[in-house]
Amino acid sequence: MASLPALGEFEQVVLLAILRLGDGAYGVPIRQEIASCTEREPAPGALYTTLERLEDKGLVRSRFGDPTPERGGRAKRYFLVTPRGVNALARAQRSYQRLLEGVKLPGVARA
Amino acid sequence: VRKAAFAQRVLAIATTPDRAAAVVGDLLEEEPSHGRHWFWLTVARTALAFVWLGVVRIVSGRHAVFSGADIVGDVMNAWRFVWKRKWLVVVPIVLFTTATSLVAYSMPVRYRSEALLRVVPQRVPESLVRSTLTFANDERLLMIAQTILTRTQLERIILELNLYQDERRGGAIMEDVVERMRRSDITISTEGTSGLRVSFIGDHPRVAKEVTEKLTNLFISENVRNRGNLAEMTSAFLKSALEDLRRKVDDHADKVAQAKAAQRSLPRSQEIEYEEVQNRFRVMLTKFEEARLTKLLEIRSIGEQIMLVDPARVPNRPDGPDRLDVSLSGATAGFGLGLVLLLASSLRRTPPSHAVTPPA
Repeated sequence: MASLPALGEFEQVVLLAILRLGDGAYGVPIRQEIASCTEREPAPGALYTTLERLEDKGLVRSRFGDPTPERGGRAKRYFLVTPRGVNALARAQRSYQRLLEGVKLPGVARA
Repeated sequence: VRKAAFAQRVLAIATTPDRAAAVVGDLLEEEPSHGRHWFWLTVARTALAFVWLGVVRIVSGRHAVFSGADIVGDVMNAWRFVWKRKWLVVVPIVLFTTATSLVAYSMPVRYRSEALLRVVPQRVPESLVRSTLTFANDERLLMIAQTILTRTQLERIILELNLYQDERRGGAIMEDVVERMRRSDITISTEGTSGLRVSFIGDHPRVAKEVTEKLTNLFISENVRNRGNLAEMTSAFLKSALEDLRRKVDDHADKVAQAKAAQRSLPRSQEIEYEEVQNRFRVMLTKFEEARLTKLLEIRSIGEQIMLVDPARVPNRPDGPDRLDVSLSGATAGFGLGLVLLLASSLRRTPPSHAVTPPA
């Protein structure tokens, strides 16, 4: 079994956004979801290369949808978090929670 | 439609065509809610990001061709990859070499003529006659060089030898022609502390020699004129200072004579002043003598001089352009472009994905 890779902050953000979107996760809604939750609009280049990296690591899988006329006949590329991605994300979040233990931050509820 | 197709082609340089299409589709969807230039700026930034990702993949061993896992396999993979796409390298090399060779062979042949000048010390010992020069040799030579490279001097040479005919017939103003001659075609450099190399590069060997000769003659005559003027001016200045002092000495001598006639002595302060003026007069007289001798040296041409050690010759072979060098540079540039195209082509291949771990 290959070991789980460490995740950067933005990689976690992207994985969480894909998980929140479920089956409809492609470039545009992922960017919008990140922007609405984090109040930070990621650059498209950064998002697409992060998605590529996550796919390289086996943390997400992608599939192409049907071509749509409003996109000039171009298909959407949908992303799905793999079980390995879920595990890596859970491990990263557990690390955050351990770090949060005993620390009081205003407006942050403890798990 | 054309805009999107072009953007897709740009992105497809660094990623697979279907991924490039999906990205462009996303950007088209988002474009209406952004500014005018957002689309193209984003395409450019995304393409750069993909190129950077390709470089990171190579470095981290996740590249489709160079995975880094098995060296022998990688080399074989790379060889197969390159062999399949050999035209990506061969075509740029052939095109660039042909283009640069054509340019090199259409450039005019140029000839360089050189001469070497050297400062020869004065032939009378310095202990006997002091030099009037206050600058080091190389500094002085460069100062003379500035004098002979003036517009007036160069324009005279251009008109006398009918240089740069094509440019002047083509309507180029003389100032530009002179500037070109000064900046590109004449080279003046010091050699050691007392040597000076003068060269001119021209379209004809004989003209190159004639211009170099004129420049070296100008150097020699300018040096003689400078030194003559300096000696003359020094001598004239010392002569007038000496006359002033002589008048003061005479005044004091008159006062002493008058005091003697009146059988009284001069006040002490006047005596001291008289002695001081006499001393200054003696010093000035010595300096004047030295200046007179220096002037004499210059007149007899045995003072320090600039001699022509190695005169200008008609060059036997051209100085440039180095056609082989230019063609090789073209081939190298073509090879570089070929490598970039190969790299871009390799980025379009999807890297191997890691094995997926089942959920815990």
